[in-house]
Amino acid sequence: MATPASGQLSSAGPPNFGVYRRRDDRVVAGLASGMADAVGIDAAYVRAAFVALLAVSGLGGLFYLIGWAMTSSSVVDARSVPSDPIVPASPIERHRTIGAGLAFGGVLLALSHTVLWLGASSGAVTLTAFGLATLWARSDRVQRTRWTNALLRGEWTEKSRRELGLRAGAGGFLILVGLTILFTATDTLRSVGAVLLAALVTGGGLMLVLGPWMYRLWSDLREERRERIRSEEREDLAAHLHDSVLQTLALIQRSKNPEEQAILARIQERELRSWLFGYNGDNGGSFAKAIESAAASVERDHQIAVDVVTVGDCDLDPGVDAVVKAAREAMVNAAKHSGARILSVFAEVDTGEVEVFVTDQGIGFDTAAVNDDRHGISDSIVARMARHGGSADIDSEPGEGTEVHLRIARSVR
Amino acid sequence: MSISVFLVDDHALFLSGVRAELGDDFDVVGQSSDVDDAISDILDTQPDVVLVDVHMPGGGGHAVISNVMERTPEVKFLALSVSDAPDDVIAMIRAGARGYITKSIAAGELGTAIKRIHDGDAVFSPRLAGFVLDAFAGTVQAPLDPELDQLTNREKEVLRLIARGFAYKQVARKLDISIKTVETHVSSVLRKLQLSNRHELTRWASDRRIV
Repeated sequence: MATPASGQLSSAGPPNFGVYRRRDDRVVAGLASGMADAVGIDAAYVRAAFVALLAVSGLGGLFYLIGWAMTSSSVVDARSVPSDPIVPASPIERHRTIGAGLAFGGVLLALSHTVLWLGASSGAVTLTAFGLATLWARSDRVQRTRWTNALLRGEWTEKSRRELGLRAGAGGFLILVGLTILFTATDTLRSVGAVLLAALVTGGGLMLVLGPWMYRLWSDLREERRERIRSEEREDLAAHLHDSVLQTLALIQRSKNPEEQAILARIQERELRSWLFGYNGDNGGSFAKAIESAAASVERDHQIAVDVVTVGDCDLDPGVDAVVKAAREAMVNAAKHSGARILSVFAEVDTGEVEVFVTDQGIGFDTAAVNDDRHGISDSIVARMARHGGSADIDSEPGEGTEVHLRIARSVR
Repeated sequence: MSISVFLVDDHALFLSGVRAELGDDFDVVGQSSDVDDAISDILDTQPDVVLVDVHMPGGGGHAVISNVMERTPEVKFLALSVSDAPDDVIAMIRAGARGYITKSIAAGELGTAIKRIHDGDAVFSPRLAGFVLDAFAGTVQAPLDPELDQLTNREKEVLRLIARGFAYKQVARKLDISIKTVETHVSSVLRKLQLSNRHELTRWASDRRIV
């Protein structure tokens, strides 16, 4: 039989439901006093209960055996400090344990002879119980260690331990009642209802006893899953940083030209920022985002810094789209001709209209003397805005920088 | 006597960079890289101006500002960051910062901003101006305090020009007013930003648990 060697208290022992068999206060193996400790009542009551159940077709013996298998013995009670030396079982104690085991075997044997059906089912139940206990002890190593640690280091409060004990006690009681009903019912084959009731009560008892363990298992699984998601996110982040930021940093280190370095840094900054704030490259019909990406493309293509400030937002429609295209053209113009190193773009969506200012502090030019070859301004900006019912004003003076002001009324929906 | 400056930032590289940049014109009296140290060191050194990063481990820059301001309201704060999120920036201003600039600011402009803060004025970067216009956009139904919950047309004009990238001096010329007047408008906007109960502002602030 897979009975755990008595007289060993260690963190590797089987789980206990907070119950240890007390070697210092025992009649048979100390199970009753251990259970009594866990629940916080006098051991005499528990012993009385076992004896009473013994009278019910000898069930008390069977349950004592099950309880015995599922607990380990303790030198003193479970609440004591872990530094207590582990005392190896003395020969006398071992003999006593073996004696008790034989006694139980005898009781079971006797019962199986007197009442045939009980012999069969009690054997099955005993086997199942030991099987479960073994399974549990194996599959549950991590939790068991944690559990015993918590118990031994006294990290559990008195209350929680009492609750655990109560739960185990109540659950155990329900199982006993359920099984008793089951046995008496099958004995006389009185009714199916009683069997159902027995199953229900037994199930409830099992829930009470195993519930916390199952919950713990479940929450451990959940925690594990969360941890896995976290680490996947970390990997995504690492991959992204590797493809973007680290590459740019390498480029910057290789670059000898401070201006190129600044541009590289800026492009990377913009890219990283839009990534951080959840922008995936799709404008999604947003005016503000369209302006941002127009600025980003000018920055990239023309090696100039573009500061964008947007206030409000609206959906893109043909008119608004024209504003974005004209604004991009104005940025390109400024990048090519102004000589400025920074462009400011301010886009504001009001209730009535959409406005964009593209401003540079560059060399400026005489607006009255625009050459015909500067098609950018006349075609792409002024004419485009006029076609859509908007306007473009260009304000510039030599030495004073340039500002292009685009505006269009919002279409009424 | 040069202006004493204290730096609060958890990025060592940035700290040493700024320190080198300010070295000659300002008296850098200390630096900290976490919230608790910063609070006690600022209270010890009593600098004129504190440059404080928006994102800090252990409570964020606004925790530094509100803790120090409780005890010595005369210390002035300038927030700086690489962050774009409006709620972070508004939270810093609500906590008591007198301005916000991005870390990409040109070297000379940082000095100008510190001097301006020291003189009791507000420093609005184009980005902050945009945030403020956004926050005060639209009209409030039955404002609790019309004085605080809305910007005047003039203030909006000034903010728009700042958002367009113009310096205070250029703003003054464009509007045909004095720089002093521009500063007055900006300070008034700052006051509204800090005291208004506008829904947009309190939402940002309460998200950051500073009100």
